[in-house]
Order: sequence, then C-alpha cells, then structure tokens
Amino acid sequence: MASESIDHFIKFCTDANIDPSHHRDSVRKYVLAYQRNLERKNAFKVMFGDVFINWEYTDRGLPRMDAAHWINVLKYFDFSSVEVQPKSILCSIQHRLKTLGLNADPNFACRVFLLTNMNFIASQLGLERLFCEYEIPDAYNKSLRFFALGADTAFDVLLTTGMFCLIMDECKVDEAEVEKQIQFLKLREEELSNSFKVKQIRAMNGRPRLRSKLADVKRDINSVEVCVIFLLRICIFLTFCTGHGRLRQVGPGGEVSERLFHAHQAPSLFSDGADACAGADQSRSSDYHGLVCV
Amino acid sequence: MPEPINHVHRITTDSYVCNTLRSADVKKPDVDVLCKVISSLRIVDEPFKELHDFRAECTGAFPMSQLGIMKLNDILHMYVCAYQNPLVWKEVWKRIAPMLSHQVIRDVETFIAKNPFNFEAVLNIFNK
Repeated sequence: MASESIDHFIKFCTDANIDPSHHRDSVRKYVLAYQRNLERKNAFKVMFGDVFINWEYTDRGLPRMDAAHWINVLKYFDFSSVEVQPKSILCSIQHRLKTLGLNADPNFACRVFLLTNMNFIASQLGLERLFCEYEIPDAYNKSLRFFALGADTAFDVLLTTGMFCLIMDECKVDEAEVEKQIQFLKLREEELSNSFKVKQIRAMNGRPRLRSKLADVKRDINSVEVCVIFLLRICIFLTFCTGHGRLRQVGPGGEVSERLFHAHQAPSLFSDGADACAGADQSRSSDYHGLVCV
Repeated sequence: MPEPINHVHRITTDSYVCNTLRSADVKKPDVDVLCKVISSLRIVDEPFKELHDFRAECTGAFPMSQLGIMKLNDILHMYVCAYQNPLVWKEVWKRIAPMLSHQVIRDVETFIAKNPFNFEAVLNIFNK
C-alpha cells in the first residue's frame, strides 16, 4: 500500500511537471495540490517561490484519491516539531481532540487538519478512517462529535492558508523512506518490463507452427534417404572391387528373387536402386517392394 | 536553421564523439531509440514559447476528448517528434502521439517550416 501511494505521487510529479528529485518539496507540493479551503497559489508562492508547477493540471486534471491513500502519504511526514500557537486553528483542533479524550499531540492534530481539508474526500469519512487507523474505538461517533464541537468556530481562508504554510514549513519528511520506495518501484517496473519482454519473445518464437513442424519432418525424411543412397553407393563400390554381386528383390507377395550381376552392370543398378528408394519414401507405390545388395 | 551538430558539446565534451558525429551521415535513424529518448523527456520548468505555439497550431485536428487528457509532457514529446528526420518523423509520431491525420501532417509541416527547433530549451530539459 505504501508503494502504491508513492506510485501515485510519482505520477503526479510527472503530470504536474514537478522535479521529483527533491523529495521534501515534491511531497509537500503533492499535499498542497490536493488541499481545499485555502488559497493554493498563494501558499505555493510563499512556500516555494517562483518554481514552476502545471496549474492547469492541478486545477482540472487531478485524479481522485481516497482517505486511505492520504493517511499513507502523511505517514512520511513528522509533525512533532510543529509549534502550536495559542488561538490558532491547530490549537482549536487540539482542544476538540482533548474534549473527546483523544491524543492531542501536534503530530496527530496536524494530520487531522490536513486530512479534513483534503480535496475529493468527505472530511468526516477521512477523519473516521484516521481514527480507525489509530485504533480509536467508536470512530464514527467521535468523528461526528469532533465536527459538532467546531461548528461555531469562525472559518477564514487566510487563516487556514497561513496554518497550512506553517505546518508544511516546520514539518519533517522522511526522504530516505520515500527514496527507498521509489527505488523499489523502479526495480519492480524493470523486472516487470523484462518479464514482459521474455514472454513476448516466447510468444513470438516459442510455439512451433505447423509449417515448421512439417519442414522438420521433411528434413528428417531427406536425411534418411541420403543415408540409404549412401549405403547403396558403398555396396556398389564393393561390387566393383569384388567384380560381381547379387541383387535380392522382394516382391509384393513376399517372394524373394536373387540375380547375379557383374561390375559393368552396377551403374544402372545403382540408379534403379536409388530411384526405387526415393520412390518408396515419396509413397509412389509400384510393384517394387525391396532391394538389397548382398 | 541552426545545425544540430553545433549543440553536441552541450551533451558531451568527448572530442572523439564530437568528431565522429561531425563526419557521420545518419541515413536511417533507429526509430526505437528515438521513441525511447523522446518518451523519457520530462518538462519541469516554465514551457518555452515554441511549445505554446506548437500546441496552438498543431493540435487543432485532435478530438476534444484527447486534448482533454493530453499533458504538457505529451505536447513536448510531439514537438520533438515533429523535428525528427523527415524519413521517420511520422513513424515516431505514430508511436508517441494518439493520432496522425493528413491535417496534423499539414499543420506540423507548416509549423516546422516557419519555426526553427528550440535547441536551447530542449537540451536544457535533456540535461535536467
């Protein structure tokens, strides 16, 4: 799940034209792009100066992410060092959490602040999910009571923007862990790509086609033919050496007839025999059934 | 139009490579390699003027549905594709961009005829 969140983060960096090599800045930009109830462009300018980000994409093309994704992304942040100023929004959140008997340290309060201002998710559902992650019993009712306690709190976009900038400025990002996850994803992608290539090669070359099989069979037959012809040649050669030989012919009924021949008859016999062998292999049936030089 | 060879020193300072490239005459560029390099380009700065012009002049023939999902990086890829060797640019374009029609070809050819390639900006992206 952690790597899945980072996967989305990398995709965001690509699409929003952010340099992903500076992890702290990139992750903060990612969170900012998804915030609502604040002036994002002003906050971006305060935090990062005149650095480029594709606002066209962040305004219109952002994919919807659920609460679980953001809870995972916020795990890379450490908000312990964020200073809580009196009468600030964070102070109000801490007060409400204390009233509910929950953990009210800045680390948790900042997560509540960011998650309740996250775009594309309902604040109550996000908060309920966060309580569930922290194993807080009766998460649904507690999340409802949290918002009920803040119903009469004044809402100011500028205050929220200021609070966000302060939190993002003072928080720490676990860059080593982010880098580790990115490397893990790269390795996994390379592995998948290699495996796909191997599968593609197998699909293209691994399965023999019928015509290839037939070509192989034909080649085998030809090699047998060549052997037979070669043996016949040796027999004829030996006949030349001895001066005469006997030819045994097997008829259709299995009857065997032998005839004696002399050396000067051998070339014609050789050609007959070779033709006969080739004819037998090619299934050109005739009255010829076998020929043996003895 | 500026010669591409004049900008090689921004990618490598190896004199052997520079001299070889100076005398090399690539007749048939490797489309696979071109696609791989072009697809890896990512813009992380303010887009240069030519990219805006290219978007305005060469994407008119694209359907609205495709324009809606097209990102800045996609436009950059198409811009670099358009300036590839005339023998292969359509092949590279087809692999990278979602469509290639007669109108797109006309738009692109008109654009590259009147706008020189912005080596400076694209090489900056290369070196990021």
